Formats: sequence, C-alpha cells, structure tokens
Amino acid sequence: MSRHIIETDVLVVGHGISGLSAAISSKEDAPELNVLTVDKSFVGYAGKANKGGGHVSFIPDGASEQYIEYHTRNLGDYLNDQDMLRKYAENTRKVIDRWESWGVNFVAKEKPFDSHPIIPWKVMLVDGDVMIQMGKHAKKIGVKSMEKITITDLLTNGDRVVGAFGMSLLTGKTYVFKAKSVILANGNQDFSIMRMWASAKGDGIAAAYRAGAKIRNAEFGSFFNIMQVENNQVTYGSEDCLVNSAGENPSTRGDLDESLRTVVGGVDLGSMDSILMYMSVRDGKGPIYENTAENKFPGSFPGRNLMFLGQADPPFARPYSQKFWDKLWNKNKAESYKDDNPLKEVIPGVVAEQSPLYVDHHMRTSLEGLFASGDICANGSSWSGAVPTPPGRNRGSGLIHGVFTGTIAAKSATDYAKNAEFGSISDEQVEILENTLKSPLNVEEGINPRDVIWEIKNLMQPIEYTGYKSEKRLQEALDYVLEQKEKLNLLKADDPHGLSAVNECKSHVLCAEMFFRASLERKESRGWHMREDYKERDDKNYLKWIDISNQNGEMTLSTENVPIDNYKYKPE
Amino acid sequence: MNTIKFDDSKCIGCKKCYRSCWLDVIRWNEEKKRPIAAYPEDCVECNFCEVVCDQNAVDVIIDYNKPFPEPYFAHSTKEERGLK
Repeated sequence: MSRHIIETDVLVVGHGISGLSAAISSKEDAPELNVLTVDKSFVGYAGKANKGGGHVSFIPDGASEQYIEYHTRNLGDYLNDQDMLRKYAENTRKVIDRWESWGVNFVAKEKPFDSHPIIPWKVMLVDGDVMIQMGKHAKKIGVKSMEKITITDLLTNGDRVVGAFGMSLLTGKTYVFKAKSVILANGNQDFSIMRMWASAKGDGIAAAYRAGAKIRNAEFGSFFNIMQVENNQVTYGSEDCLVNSAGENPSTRGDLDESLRTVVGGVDLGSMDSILMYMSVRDGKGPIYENTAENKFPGSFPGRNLMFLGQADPPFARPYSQKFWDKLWNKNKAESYKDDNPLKEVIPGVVAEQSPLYVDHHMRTSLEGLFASGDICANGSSWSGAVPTPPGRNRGSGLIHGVFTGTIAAKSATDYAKNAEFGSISDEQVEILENTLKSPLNVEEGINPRDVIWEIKNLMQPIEYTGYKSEKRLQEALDYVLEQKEKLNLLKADDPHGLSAVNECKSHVLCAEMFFRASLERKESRGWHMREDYKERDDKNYLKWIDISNQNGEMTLSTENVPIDNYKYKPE
Repeated sequence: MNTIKFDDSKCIGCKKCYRSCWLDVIRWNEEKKRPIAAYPEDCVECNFCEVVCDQNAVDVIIDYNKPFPEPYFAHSTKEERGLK
C-alpha cells in the first residue's frame, strides 16, 4: 500500500495549547531540529483552550509552600507527587513570562483576580484567540504543522517509540511519521458526554497504552459540572441556588456520615455535590432545580469578567471570547427554555477529564523516546493527586498546566533527539496498523461506532457508576464495558471520518475499562474517588498509586507506594 | 441532530468556518469554494463557525432534544442501558 513517510526530529501529537507550547519550546531550545505538530484540527482551533473561560491561575512568588500544603491536604488527599507539585508551584510565574514572549496578550496581569477564598492563588485572563496568537508564533519560528490528520498509534522498536502512524481525515491516505522523539499532547478522555467539552477522545491515552506505556490514576476521571437539562450546558453559580422538591439545597445538605466528610474536604471538591444531588433524587426529592432568579453569579463582578455572564468591565474586556460566549448563552436562553419559570432543572453532567498517562518529573513516559504534556498526563504525573484535571473546582489550572508541562516535555524531548538516531520502522508493524485501521471499511452489516460510544456514555454519566461507586456497580459497569469491547471488531465505517470515529470509539472503550478496573482496585474513598462500600480513606493500604499496563493484550494492574516518608506533608 | 446552514450568497469563501470546526463536521468544497455540513451528527454546538464568520453566513440551529444519558442511576437491565 502506498503511504506518505514524513521524517522529523521531534513529533508533537496535538496542537492544542500544550502541544503548541511544547513545539515552540522545542524549537526555541534547539532551532536546528525539525519540529512538527500533527492534529485532527487546524492550528488555532485545536484542543480546549479556546473553548473555556481563558483563566490562567498562578501561584505568586513566596506562596508556594502554602499552596502545596493546602493542595496536598485538601485536594490531592495525599496522593500527590509532592515533588512534582512543588516544581509546578515554583514555576508558574516563570512559565507566564515565557508564554507571554510568544505573542500572547494577558488581561489583568497587573492586577490579577483572587481565585481562591483560602490560599493566595491568583488568576489572570487570556482571550479566546490565544491559540491563533500561539499558532502564528510557532509558524514564525519554524515549527511545521500538519492538519486534518489523526494519529492512531505509535510506532515502536522494542521499548523505544520511533514514530507514529496516522491517517488524513480528508483523503484516507496513511502516514508514517519517523521521529527521534515523540511528545503526546493530544488531550485526555471526556467520553463525549458534555457537548462542548467533548473534544478530548482519549486517542493518545489509548495509543500509548497499546504501545506499552504505563498508565496511572485512571480511577480519577469523574469531573462533573452542574448543567441545565434544557440545553445541556454548564450553569455557573447554580450550586448556590439549587432547590429540590423538598425545598432544600442539596449541595449543602448534610446527610453523609462524618468519615466521608473528612475525605472530601471543603470548598474545592465538587464531587460531594454530585453525590448530594444523587442522594436527593434517590430519596424521592428530585428533580433538582436551579432557581435562576436567585443565581447571583451572572452579572456579578466575577460572573461578567471571568465567565462572560454580562458585559465585561473595560479593563477586563476580551472581545473574541465575549462574542463566543454571548452566542452560546443567548441561544440557550432564547431557544432552549420551554417556559418563563425561573426554576430550571439541573443535573450533574460528567465531564470526566480522565488523564492517566504516566510521566516522571521530566515528562518522560515509561517508554524511551516518548514524552507527554498537558491534559493527557495531568493525573498520570500525580501532581494533582486524587482529583481529576482541572483539580476539582480550582478553575484556571488547565491552561497553565498545559503550558508548564509543554515546556518541560520539550526540554526532555529535544535533549533526547539531539543525541538520538532515527529508529528503524517495522514494515510489518505498519502493515498491521494499516489493515486494522482500514478494516471497518470492509464491514457491511456492522455497528456504527457512535452506538457503542452511546453505551459508554451511559456507563460514565450515571453518578452511581462514576461518582458514588460500589463493588457491585463497578463490576456491573466493567462487565458491560467488556461486552462493548467484543463489538469493536464489528464496527463499520464508510470513509476516513468514519474510520477516525471507530478509532475514537476504541479509545472510549479502553479508557472506560481502565476507569472501572482501577476504581475496583481502590477499596477506599479518597479525593474524587468515592466508594459507598468503603467510605473512609485508608492510608494503611491505599496510600499508593494504581498503575495499569498492557501485558500481551491483557490489562494488568499493579501498585506503587506513595513515598510519603520522603514528603513534607503527611496525613494527620 | 444540529443543523448547520450556510448562506452561499453571503459567503466569500474565506474558509474560516471550515478551519474553526475542530470536529471535522464542516468540509470544504474546493470546486464551489463553499463549506459543506458533512457530518452534522458530530456537531456539539460550540458555534465557532458562526462566530468567526464576518459575513454572518453561518447559522447553527441547535437541536435541544438530543438524547442525554440517565444522569444518576446505574441501569440494572440491558434494556434500560440500551434506551436512547
């Protein structure tokens, strides 16, 4: 079969914010190297950075230790790699300076917002065209980019990654990318449940797993937001004005036992709210409504200046994002509301944010020549601990984390590439990957991959499966995932877009299997991992990371103790 | 599913809508130099295509009745799980 062969010193998979940060940093670190980014989307629009609030959180100089202690005790629940957390905390200011040199404009840099009620965590802003600015800079300094190409697998030679395999969404032509080092920066797994936050399909996690890379903390992919049922969009500020049929606000209702309360902490951890909403409905007090007449967030200072709920004050104006969010909010209000009743039904919508690709402090995966940055490895690096990315309700850590880890991965990948030769590519491996990728075109009476993804959504959304777990329910969910796995050879596709959908479907099934297997293994409650049958944190048996690896096609679990004796902050 | 309408008379062929669509919903007809809503079933109503169009030639009509999974409860039967 004819296929394109592309050679580059450093290959960056994904040109979202972390991928572009990695590519720019690589080129800056080693201008003599060829740096190439590849993505399904176009430069300037890939990834999630231009679809959120544009919040850039940072830790002010001198506040690192206060932040690390707070984060470890209240968010990460002692599952943090405290050394990595310290590296992050001590570098956010420096990262911002480097980021700014790439042509990015910051809003409120001189007078940042307070982003947390307890710790000195600050936030400033970027506009939604941040990715366009970064894309222009990348091009200017010589970073090459290829668009509309999906990377489905990594190419290996023994334990070393020597490139990647992909396909054009437009032509179906396949590509072999030969690279001295590869940075995976193509996002985490959101299971396609929430609409706009459905961009991350887990393709990189799945490719890395298949190639033999270690996976860590897969059980923490259950981030949720409160969303209005009428339009399936997040409704900010709603947790303060929820009301169930008994007239209670279930987000502050206190019928969990004390042991569970000590686990879930205070202002940051939103997993508690999803469980309280679930309990309220379970007890016959549903549905739950947002009393929009009582929601003070829209129009408030943070509402209008941080989340575009109203026109921003001039110093904080971000015209690109304002237009984007105005469109969405206005459409939702004008078109989705069925009546004028201020009570709007809400549910906890699972965003997931599963990000379990293991990396060390230098963003090296367990495979030689393979590095990672951004959302794909946020939990895999363990800096955030027992909380999905972004960490709990502390908004604004996604962007800065993406840029921060991109710069580190770039340094490691360029250092490696400078001293490495191209590895040889196995024709047989490429042939197998091509046949596997294209085989759904030959299936006539097969299954639409979207139907299987729908089944996976139905496992990842119910709070009983992913928010408030139990042995019985987790096993039930895992069994059903494995049933879906049996269907993967029956998936059909009509064209390259469909073949990409098949690959995404496989990634959904694989990531769901990881989630439920790791969740079954952790027989305790910690951070966002909440077990109805093991309500207490168990430091004696579970102060350890759960790792997953592919052993000859079998998903195999193992554990590694958190080196808590070496860390400054220990459970009290 | 969502519907994406393009007003070809207003469109100037700048490709911004095509480039902004990160889910490959919109394709480009090189012959006519106009966008095509090729895979509307994958549209997640980010509205980017509409927002970036300087000519107001794009209209994303959102289907607010798309199915959403059961939010709270585990399904105990296959029939329940298969419901759409």
